[in-house]
Amino acid sequence: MTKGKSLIKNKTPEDIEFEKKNNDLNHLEEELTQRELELATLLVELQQFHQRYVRIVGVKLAELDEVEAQIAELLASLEPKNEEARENAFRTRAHAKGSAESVDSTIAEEPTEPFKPSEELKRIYREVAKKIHPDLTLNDKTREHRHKLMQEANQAYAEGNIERLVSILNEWESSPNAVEGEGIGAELVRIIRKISQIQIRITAIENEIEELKATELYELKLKVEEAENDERDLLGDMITDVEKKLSNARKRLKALKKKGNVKA
Amino acid sequence: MTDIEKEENKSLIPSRKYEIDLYSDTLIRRGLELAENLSVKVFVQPDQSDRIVSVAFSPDNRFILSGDCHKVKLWDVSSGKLIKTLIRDKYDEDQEPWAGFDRFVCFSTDGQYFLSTGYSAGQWTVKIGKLPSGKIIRSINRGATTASFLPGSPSVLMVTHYNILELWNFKTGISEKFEDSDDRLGLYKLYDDGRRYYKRSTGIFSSMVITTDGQSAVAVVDQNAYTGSTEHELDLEEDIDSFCDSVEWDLDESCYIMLWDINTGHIAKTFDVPNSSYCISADGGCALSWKWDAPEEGDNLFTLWDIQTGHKIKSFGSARSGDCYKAAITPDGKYALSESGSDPNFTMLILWDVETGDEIWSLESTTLQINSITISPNGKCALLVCSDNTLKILSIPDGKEIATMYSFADDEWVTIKPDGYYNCSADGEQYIKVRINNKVQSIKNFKLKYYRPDLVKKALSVVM
Repeated sequence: MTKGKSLIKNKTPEDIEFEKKNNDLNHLEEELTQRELELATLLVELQQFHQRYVRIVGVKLAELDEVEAQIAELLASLEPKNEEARENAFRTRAHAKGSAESVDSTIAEEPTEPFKPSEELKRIYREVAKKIHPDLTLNDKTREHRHKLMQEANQAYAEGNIERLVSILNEWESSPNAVEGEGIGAELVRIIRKISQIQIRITAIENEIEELKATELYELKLKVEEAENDERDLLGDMITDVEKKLSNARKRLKALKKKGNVKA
Repeated sequence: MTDIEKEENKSLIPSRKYEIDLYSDTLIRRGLELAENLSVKVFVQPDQSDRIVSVAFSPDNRFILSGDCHKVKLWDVSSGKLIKTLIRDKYDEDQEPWAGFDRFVCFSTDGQYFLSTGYSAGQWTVKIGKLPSGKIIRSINRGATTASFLPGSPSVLMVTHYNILELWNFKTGISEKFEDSDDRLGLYKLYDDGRRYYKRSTGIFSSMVITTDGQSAVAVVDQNAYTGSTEHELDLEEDIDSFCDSVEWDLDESCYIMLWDINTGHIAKTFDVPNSSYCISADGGCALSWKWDAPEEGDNLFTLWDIQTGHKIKSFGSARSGDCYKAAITPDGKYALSESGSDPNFTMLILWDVETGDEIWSLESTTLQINSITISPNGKCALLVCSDNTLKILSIPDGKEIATMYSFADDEWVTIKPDGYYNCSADGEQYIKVRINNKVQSIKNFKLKYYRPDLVKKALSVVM
């Protein structure tokens, strides 16, 4: 029996390179979606912690600022010629106003339960990100559409809305924008560019996460969580501490009013 | 990368920073301050009844000897445990208040023995003990300021109170004095009968290291001498500082280095070092010198010397941190750790790259006051003897504090990490406190969390 030619076509260098790059791309897509998930989770957690902190401690701090502003104003009125007292009253009042406005605007937002994304929510988010992430296309026309959908997906993730995420995914898959590409050569170039685009995005996400973790809000969140791990209610302890200060400030205000013969 | 390239490399998704207004920011900062006050701070009240005078690392980095005025203690570095108190010297502190000041401790090169100098029962004594038992195998009635074991030999070279280099074979008990060191250099003499004399001099041996090959001894002679009195007997009650203040000092802010041939006992080389402060590398290969006073802008702080040739190798280091008080050089001669400060309440530690002169890291503190710096034989950590009588272990590569070791008059001990996790002796917890919102309480309620010998051990493993 003579050796016949193999019926299996040998892979061309382009095919090998295509496979290799495609493999790289798949790994990077996985990493990108995972990083997007981490960032989205962190943003929601920070937002929710901020709300929680302001509702519990911020409110009390704003109350304290208000009483201290009243004390400063009373002191200024008791010594009308004292320039320093007047300036202090002005400054303290501005501070109290700022605190109150900040607290009001935060508590005006819908209170939310602590963000605990389910594994199912995370899985669908990753699937959506893998399909529609704007950094996965080189097509300018579809990029804008992808960006809009990604924003919606982030919102749906923050709300824990699985149904909306599924509907975004369905919407995308039935869209003509989901179909791209023509021929292996063009595809190879696209893959190389996608890889570069994804790498840039991963670096950007890492920087964003790093920046968020460097904020004082994150530091405070960590301290509260550490205390919770030790079965300590740090926010509760903070309220107790501020309430003591508030009580003292109120006593002082009352005494000053009495001294200044002002009705309490 | 050009601006255009940077623009092209931007991610398509804009950053989604969580932004908050100024007053929210202020509220958060106030929250952090509250949290800081309310956080659990574990601390140890140090025992300052005794003063740590001398410390040494074992050659394998596993043990530390600490010598205070009365005791010599052996620590296990891997766990932070105080293994045992090896020596307890007894003397009348009221009658002999000076007795504890000349403690010196060191390990033998094989780590099997230790040496301790000290004063006990009316005698200055140098003791050699076996490790880890601490059993004293030989002692000699001699006052000594520093000493070193000879590699592979049952001998130690000592600098005695008479400012003499003396080689003592602790197996045979035979000792011999080195050439021409007698009387020439004595700044002060502290006689074994307790009488003390100050004497005009050209300097004292203040540091001595035996080279790794055991052939030479490197001794630094400090010339911070004075004129004004040839010989003055001090009363026991007379304060040394007051006496020194009363005489006219003629400070020669320099020192010189002497290289002795141990086999012959003769001086092999002497060279001047025009700086007042110095340290010698552990192998006796190089010396680092510096001036106490901060040099002028642009001048170098340190000079590195080759001891064998007596030549200057290089100068390096800027003086941004004020006066330089102490320094130590790593055994490989690559890094130098210096302590400086602009006032008594400000300490700055800097690790210098000797080759480039660059600062690797710096550490600023308003609470840390350092009496001495010792670098471990493997160069991985520095042992700081602090003025509160604690031993602090610092990581050389990054300057991070690894742990602080506390010991107490009742031989209890505590080793604690900066985050409060600790290891301690059976009754060591009596010295550990917790501060929450300025209220101090015992560690009892927090023991479950903070008693973590495993974490202390893990942290200390970087020293090995």
